[in-house]
Amino acid sequence: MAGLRARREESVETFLDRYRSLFFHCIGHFEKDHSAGEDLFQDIVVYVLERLDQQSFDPAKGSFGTWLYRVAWCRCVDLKRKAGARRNPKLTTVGDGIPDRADAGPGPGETAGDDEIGDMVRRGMSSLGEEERVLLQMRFVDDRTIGEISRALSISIEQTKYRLKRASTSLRRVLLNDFALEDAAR
Amino acid sequence: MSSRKPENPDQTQPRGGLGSDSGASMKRDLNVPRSMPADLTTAGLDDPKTADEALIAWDELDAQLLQMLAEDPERGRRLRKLQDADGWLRARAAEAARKTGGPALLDCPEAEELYDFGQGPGATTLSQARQDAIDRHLATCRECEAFVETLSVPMPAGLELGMPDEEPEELPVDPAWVRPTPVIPLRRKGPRRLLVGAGLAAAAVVVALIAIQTQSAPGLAFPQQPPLRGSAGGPIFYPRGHVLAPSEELKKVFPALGGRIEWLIEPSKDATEYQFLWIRHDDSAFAKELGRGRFDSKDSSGFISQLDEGSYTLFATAIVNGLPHPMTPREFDVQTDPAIEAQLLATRGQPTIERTMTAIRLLQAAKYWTDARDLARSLPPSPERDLFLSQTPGR
Repeated sequence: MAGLRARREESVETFLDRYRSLFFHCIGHFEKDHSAGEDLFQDIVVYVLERLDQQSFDPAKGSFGTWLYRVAWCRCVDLKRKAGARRNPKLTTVGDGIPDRADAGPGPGETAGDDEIGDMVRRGMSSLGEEERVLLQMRFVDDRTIGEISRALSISIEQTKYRLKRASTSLRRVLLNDFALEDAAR
Repeated sequence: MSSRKPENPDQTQPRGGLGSDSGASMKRDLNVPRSMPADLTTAGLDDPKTADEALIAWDELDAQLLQMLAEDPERGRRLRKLQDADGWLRARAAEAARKTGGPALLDCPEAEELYDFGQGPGATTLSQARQDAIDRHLATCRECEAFVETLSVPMPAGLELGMPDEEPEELPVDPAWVRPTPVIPLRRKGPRRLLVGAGLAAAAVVVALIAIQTQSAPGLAFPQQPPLRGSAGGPIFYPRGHVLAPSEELKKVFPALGGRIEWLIEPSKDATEYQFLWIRHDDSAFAKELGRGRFDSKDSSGFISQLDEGSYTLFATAIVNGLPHPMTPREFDVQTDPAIEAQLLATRGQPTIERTMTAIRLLQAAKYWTDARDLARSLPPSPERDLFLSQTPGR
């Protein structure tokens, strides 16, 4: 560890050798492009070493590997969020203050475009089986947590997540079918 | 998500991984039904059916495929509609969250909190109130939800997570005359970086090919499944025999152990669903019940969360044409075993693959069949491994 903090070549090489796979396992979740993945790897290594210099690794709290994975994962999330913010900047005119709270004005459901989408989704949900419809309703309309839904339906949390995903996939399938019918009718 | 406290007093909290009604047990995928082929390529989008499947799974596509779909006039329009539909649902969740929990629920949690919520390796426990708040936020935010989903992917056993007391000893301490080398030069910019990257990529392909060839060497000698008679084979194949309740120390060496228990049954023709009931009992002549749990699945394989130590009977019923068809129950027990633990821990110094193979043979010989399969799944794919996992006990 001392060698790593002092950036001794051999220690750094051993560190990179040993934990490269760990870093790339993490990076693989966030970046599919090989070249971008290598860049991310470089960034994470530099970041991890900086954190190490700041004494943020505490052996009493867990292994070095799990600490590394945590730091790498959080770094990936932060960088993805930054990249997302760059792609989709929040546009404000000069002088506009950034509101502290969410806009209390008309909600998204009250705009004409959203009404159209809402109708489309509602129609799609009505074509689903009851269980799938109830799951989507509980999660997205009734503001229920996964734990609350699992308790309400007497199924495990893992089953709840799985069935929610399945319901979402079913809805997309129904919507896609509707789009095809609409196109055919034109 | 997986960080919840136990919901059912009879059942322990699932420790992440695949749910009991999840897909095939031999996949190391996310615990979700995948609606698109894992090997989907841009060329595959020429097939309308494949393109539709890609549209349905649009939030799992890589950027290149998504871009291709978006640029296609017809599919791009459908993609935008599907994305709008997802956005509409999440906006509903946001409206509801704003009403019940205030606008703070719409703020994305810090990465550290998401990591703890998703129970990444070494995660700490959040308060129940914070867990609920993040859970509600995930319904409103696809990006955060996707981040958390990455933590449900099991960590390959070969990855070095290390133990705190090993690290300082294993990293070499250089003599004082070695000049420290800053890591910053690792960053390369511009064309040189691209050239070096291309060279590295080519080298990596060569190394990977060599590795694949050498991995199929005869070193992967998996044990054979024992021949069994009559109902000792199916229709409930796993769990059976002993299931190890590993110590924390052993789990650090073999992270694949102790997280969940595989179940596998012989599929019944025309079954639309399978219902399961496990009962924990005291193994006495009257088998006094100590606890029970239920689950159901449309698949013939899956996982349940790790069970407490004890003797168990697993009952399974296939639902065929709406009628229940009970299967022969299967007995198994979850137990600690200091002797097998000691043998497994003694493999610690060996390279990962060799250590895992030794452990598989030890577990199989001691009738920890389910655990042996857990370890086998943690190995890189190979014909030998897949053959071992495809074997079911029987005549």
